[in-house]
Amino acid sequence: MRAIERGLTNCPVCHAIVKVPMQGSEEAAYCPRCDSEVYMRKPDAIQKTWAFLLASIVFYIPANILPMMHVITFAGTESDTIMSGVLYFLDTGAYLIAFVIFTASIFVPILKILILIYLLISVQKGSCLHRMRRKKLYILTEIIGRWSMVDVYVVGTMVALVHFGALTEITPGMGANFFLLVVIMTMLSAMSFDPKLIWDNTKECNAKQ
Amino acid sequence: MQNSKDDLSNVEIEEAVWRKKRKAISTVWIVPIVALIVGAWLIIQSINEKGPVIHITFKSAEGVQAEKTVIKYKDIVVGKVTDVDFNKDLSNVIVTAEMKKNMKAYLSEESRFWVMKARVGLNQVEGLDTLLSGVYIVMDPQKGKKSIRDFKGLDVAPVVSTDEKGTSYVLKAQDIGSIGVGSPIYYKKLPAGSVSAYQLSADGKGIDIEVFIKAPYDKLITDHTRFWNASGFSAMLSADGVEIHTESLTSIIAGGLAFDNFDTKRKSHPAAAKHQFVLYNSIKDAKKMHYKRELFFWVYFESSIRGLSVGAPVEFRGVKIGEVVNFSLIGNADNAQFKIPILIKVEPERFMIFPQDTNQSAEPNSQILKKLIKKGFRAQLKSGNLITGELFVDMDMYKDVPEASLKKENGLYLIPTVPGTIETLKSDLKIVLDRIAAVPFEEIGKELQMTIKDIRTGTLPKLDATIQSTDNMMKGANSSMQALQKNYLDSNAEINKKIIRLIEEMTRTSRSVKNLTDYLERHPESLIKGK
Repeated sequence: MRAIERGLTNCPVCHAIVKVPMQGSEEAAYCPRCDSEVYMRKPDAIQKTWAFLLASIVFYIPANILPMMHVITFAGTESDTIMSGVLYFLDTGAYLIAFVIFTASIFVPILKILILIYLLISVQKGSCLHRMRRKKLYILTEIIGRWSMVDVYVVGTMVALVHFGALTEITPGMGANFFLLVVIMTMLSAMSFDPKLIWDNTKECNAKQ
Repeated sequence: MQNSKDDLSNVEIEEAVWRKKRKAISTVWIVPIVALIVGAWLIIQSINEKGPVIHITFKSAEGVQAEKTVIKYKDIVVGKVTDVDFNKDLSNVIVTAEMKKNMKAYLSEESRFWVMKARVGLNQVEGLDTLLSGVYIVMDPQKGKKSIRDFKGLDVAPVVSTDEKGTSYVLKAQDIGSIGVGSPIYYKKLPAGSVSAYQLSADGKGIDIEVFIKAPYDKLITDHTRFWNASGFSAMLSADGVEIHTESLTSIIAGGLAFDNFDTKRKSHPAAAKHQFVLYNSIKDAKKMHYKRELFFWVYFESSIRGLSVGAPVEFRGVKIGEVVNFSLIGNADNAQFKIPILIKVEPERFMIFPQDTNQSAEPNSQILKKLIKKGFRAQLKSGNLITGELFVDMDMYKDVPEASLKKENGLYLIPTVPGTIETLKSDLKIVLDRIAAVPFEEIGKELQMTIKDIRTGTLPKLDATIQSTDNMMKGANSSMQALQKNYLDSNAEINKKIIRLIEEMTRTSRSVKNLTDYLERHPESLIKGK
């Protein structure tokens, strides 16, 4: 038995059980206790997730091509992209830092994007496979999402700290802006996704079995 | 629960169907559309910004790194090196670089590229920033006729960048001396330009030095401007002390040139670019009058010309009118006759002859010359300095000389000569010697002998007696001296003893006087009261 079949849902804010008729209207339903909007499933979850996801994919390209930050010294300006920074740390033997930056800035966003694509496609196809695993993957995107901000924090901290006038100065590059957008877009995308959708086809799956 | 829900939602009822998938397009799609637009804009921009790719060939590209080294103009980045590679036979290095789009118009055959390295010269220090940032390639952009993509890089940075205003000239020099590329050129001790290049002249006999004179100074260059080598210093020792002249400290070490306009009276025209000048060896040389019109003549001498040198003056009554250019020797074995042709140069601008010769050609006016020679115009070798025996060619009008006519030999007129002063000196000397020979030395000798005999027999014995008497006199004087010593100078002499006693007496007297004064000092009242 599923709540959706009984027209029941819970308020996303105060978690009160609310009855919403199955034949809902375009107008939104509101929680009688806290007056928050209630819905059976997040409205337009798949569309929104796709939209944000595509935006993040688009932004991911300039984020990696454009320089993250410019190090301006009296000897000249050096610009580093994410990958050139990773290679720099690899060259200088700082493997741990290289690993952290690579993981946080390159691996995690790609992983997040891939997971969301997988979740969306599987939900849209009404796949019955690995539902528990898919749920775990969704939780993973929520957990690791925040870590991709590490690079942005690094740039922010450097820019704030390194201000020695003509000697050395660090300014953020355009890449940092796009990277920030990538992170925000993937977070919005993950937020827009409704994990309940994974189990919406339980009946059909059970029937198949 | 149900009621309150209905209150809230059923304000306006409209048929709606619950669907898993909505066909309607959510406004959230604006986000990826915006993202796409931004992405597309970035791509278009990067394509737009993608400038032309050029290849520069260098002999060596020391320090040039792909993706690191930049191309700069006026210290602003105008391109970036994308690749550094060898050419096919490994003799050169080809640097591939991507230029900024706005430099496209300047990628012409006139543009130059060179690698900027730190350079510490005597007159300047440059490229110190490359010590920290690494080398960079400098572009000297220039609009040209053709647009090209393959360039040949310069091995050394040019001294003059094309955006500097000024004019280039060529100096003809005998040798390069201590002049190098970048050597300064001074005008009234102000640095007014520099040497931009030099090369062996086309005929291989001299050096062509290309100089660049900076903008305000190039107006001063006229066709009469003199350039000279101002390297090192000149010292002059005179009665006032030592005077040392130099253009600047740099020019002592690094060499330098200088220019000035000495001849301000003559009309001068501004010199065009690449105008050729002669480089003089010193300011003294440069200040000398130099004449445009030069006439060449032959002068034949038969006697020795030892002491005559190339450059020796040709004078007319002491006024210098030219100089000796060359001389040689022509002999005839049949009659053993030798003559020495001397090539002289006369500069007619040094003097004036009336009727004035308006002819400016290299050919002398034969009419004037003929007239002069008829009236006794002759050349003669004269000694300029009796000690060193230096000779010069003197011209003068001589009377009582054999007639001569104007002749031409080897295309040059021959000026007839009269024998040199040395020859006349020789004949004079002979007369003197003859006179000396005429002197009756034998008689004089005999006379002298007789006189000596007279002296020996008559005068000498008398002299002997005189000496004897003098001796006796001296003896007497000696004894008197001895008595004098005994009475007065000996320590036991009576007078000495008396003097000693007198001195003792005086000592005693002075002591008692001293006692008295001492007492008076202590008891001044005793003068009145008594002791």
